[in-house]
Amino acid sequence: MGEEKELTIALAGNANVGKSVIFNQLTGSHQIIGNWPGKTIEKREGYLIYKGYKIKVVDLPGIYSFSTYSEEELISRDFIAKEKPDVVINVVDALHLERNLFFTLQLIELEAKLVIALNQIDLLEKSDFTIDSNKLENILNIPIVPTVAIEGKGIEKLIEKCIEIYEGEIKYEPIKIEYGKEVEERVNELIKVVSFDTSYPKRWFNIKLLEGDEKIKKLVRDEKILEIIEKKSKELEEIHGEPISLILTQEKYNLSNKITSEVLIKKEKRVNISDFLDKIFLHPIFGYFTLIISLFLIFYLIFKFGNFVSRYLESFF
Amino acid sequence: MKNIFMKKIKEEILEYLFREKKEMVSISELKSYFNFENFDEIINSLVIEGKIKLENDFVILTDQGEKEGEDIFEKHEFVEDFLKNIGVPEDFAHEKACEIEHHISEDKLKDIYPLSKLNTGEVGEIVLIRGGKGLIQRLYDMGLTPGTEIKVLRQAPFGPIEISLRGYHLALGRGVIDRIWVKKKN
Ligand SMILES: Nc1nc2c(ncn2[C@@H]2O[C@H](COP(=O)(O)OP(=O)(O)OP(=O)(O)O)[C@@H](O)[C@H]2O)c(=O)[nH]1
Ligand SMILES: [Mg+2]
Repeated sequence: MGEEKELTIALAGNANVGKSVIFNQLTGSHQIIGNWPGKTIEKREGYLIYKGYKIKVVDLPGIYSFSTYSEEELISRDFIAKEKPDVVINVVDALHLERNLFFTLQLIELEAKLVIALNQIDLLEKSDFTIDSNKLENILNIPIVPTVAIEGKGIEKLIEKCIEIYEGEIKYEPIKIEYGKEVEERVNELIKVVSFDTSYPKRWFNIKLLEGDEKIKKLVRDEKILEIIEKKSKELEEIHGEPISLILTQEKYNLSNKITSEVLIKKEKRVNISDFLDKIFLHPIFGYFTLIISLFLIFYLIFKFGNFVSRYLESFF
Repeated sequence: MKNIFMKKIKEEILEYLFREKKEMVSISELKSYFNFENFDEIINSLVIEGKIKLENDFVILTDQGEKEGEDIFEKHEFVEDFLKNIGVPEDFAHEKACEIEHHISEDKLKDIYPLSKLNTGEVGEIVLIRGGKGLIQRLYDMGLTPGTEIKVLRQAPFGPIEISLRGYHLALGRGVIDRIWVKKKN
């Protein structure tokens, strides 16, 4: 051995979307369960060997954003931004696309290399909606693999895609998330001023500075730079009349709403005869009418037809 | 952006002159009150638009200017009352009203209730959320941003309520729902 290439994959997404089921599918019995350093939150890692790759898999906690109002959010964003896993599998619940995409956009902003597992496709098929996953793939420009985690469907394809991304076989250039001119100008000016090295992605780091993210601001020691940041945030708040983090959250939700409306399709309801009859016969009001009418018809037929039959029979005698 | 800003400043000036209508306001007073870079430019354009006149260094509203000033003034009072009614502290309400008055028409403020006033099955559009930045950020993260339509699915007296928004369901505790103000849809 020793010839194996090693890579790390993280599973990230909203709560209850199927991350742990995928984690179990991938790692089987090779799991290590412990805690995140210094935290009470469970850390689950495991590994798998696949086609000569030794792949470490990390199951991240389920979260909705990286605003860091919880430990889970902090752990996840620091793991992705600083440890830089080779690929992040973003597990997306196909039934709640809009909310899940909001998180996907944040992962893109954090410059994670993504493969999307569009999970719970079995439940989507039973619903009134379907998703044009090719179109979604084109809009986001991120590989998408439809999966049914509990049945193991799509899991191998997921790994294949991760390896392709890792090997650079797929050009990874996801959709750019851009804000209004006022924000963009200030982010770009700030990038020039904040020149020291952090392990965080540059654009993301500077956006967080403008948002006034406490954890990120602590990394800036220079009073002069802090003053510049303060001034720019103030200007933005004055223009928009709202804290800047809220503005950017709204913009990302607007984008995920727009994308969702382009790829989520309401299924054409085929008129199913038995459904149709059920509706008529089981309707709380019309049900009685249809009952009476059918009884009437039955009696009518019995008497009419019965009469005819009995006369016909009589003719034999 | 700049045009909106200009419009806002002009409206502020007309409103101020309307409030101070009984007093004679001199141009230097006005200038020090608004303390604004291109003040002269703005005053000139108000004169050209026929909304104010300058007489011996005093600024006087024309009929048209007075009417506009009064409009803005009334809107301000309306918005400020509304904000106070929903429990926004007084000085903050005044400050917010100064911002909102330029953007909003009165009929937009009709039919606005805290979420708890909506009945099961009713739909509302989020207008504003009151609370600290942390709370608001968390609600925004869950998709409760202004303009979002929410529908009340279920509610238990004194218990949480279940709503649907952005294609998913969410339960909200009592402590939160009165902080969310919605415009009821018919
Ligand atoms: N029908 C169906 N159910 C699924 C699928 N994937 C996961 N589930 C179910 O969804 C639930 C949540 O799955 P988990 O894997 O625990 O979700 P998670 O993302 O790890 O959740 P957190 O750890 O809370 O963030 C479980 O009851 C799974 O059985 C799927 O593809 N189809
Ligand atoms: Mg889990």
